[in-house]
Amino acid sequence: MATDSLRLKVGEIVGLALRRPPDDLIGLERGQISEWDSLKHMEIVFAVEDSLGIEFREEELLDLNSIAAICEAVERHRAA
Amino acid sequence: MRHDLSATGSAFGLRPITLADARFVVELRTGSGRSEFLHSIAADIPRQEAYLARYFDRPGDYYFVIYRLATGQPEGTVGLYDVDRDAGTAQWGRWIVQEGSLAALESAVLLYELAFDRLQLRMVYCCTVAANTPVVSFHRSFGLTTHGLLPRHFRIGDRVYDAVEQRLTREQWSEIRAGVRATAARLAERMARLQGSE
Repeated sequence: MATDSLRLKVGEIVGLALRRPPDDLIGLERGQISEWDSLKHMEIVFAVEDSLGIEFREEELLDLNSIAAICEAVERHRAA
Repeated sequence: MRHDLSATGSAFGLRPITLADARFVVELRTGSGRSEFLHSIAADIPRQEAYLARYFDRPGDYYFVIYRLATGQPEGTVGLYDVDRDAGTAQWGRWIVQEGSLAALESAVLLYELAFDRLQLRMVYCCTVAANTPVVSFHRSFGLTTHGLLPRHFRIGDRVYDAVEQRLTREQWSEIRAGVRATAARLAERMARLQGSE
């Protein structure tokens, strides 16, 4: 379970990239957010990595399709 | 048409399509998870070869296979067509990447490099089904300007769709190229490092 601070941080990054209030994005998947295209996706991934000091694996990149999924992946990396 | 234009980026390249790619095109365009917004095609290999044979004779049409540099494996297609050398314009499309491929961004960068730097075009445009919001959004994020809505522009199967026309000028390209290239290069660096560690 992701911490509140992590959810807030990831939500802030995703919201900034998509120019949407983070609260509007909670609980939504990438496919439900028209602005979350493949270019924005890479911007989000790199911003999360830079901000949190982790590096996702290539096979993870396309599965980071929601704030919750990103948080879970970050937690996995931190636990590894 | 038959051409010898090609381009290589950091992780992906574009090369002219050949008859031998007919099987790949059929698999790409008919495979699971394909967009509902794709035009139906000659869905068997002989018919796809016949389509490509007609394409080879069509002037102003550059059709490419997107491939991964590290392996040579094809991961998609893209085309630049309706090239008007007098007006300095062309349309791009036939842009499909395999499910799970990371080729979208760099293939677009390479396509624009060919259009503006090699062919010296002034403006490139694309028409996308308006309901295909991920692709419309991609072009907007990339830096294209929305030129207008084209009502009932596409007929796909028995359905009619509005289209969005988006444009990129040579001047706009010169402003955005560094940024999109940097993002593509960072992704490529990641892919190379992870492949090296496997």
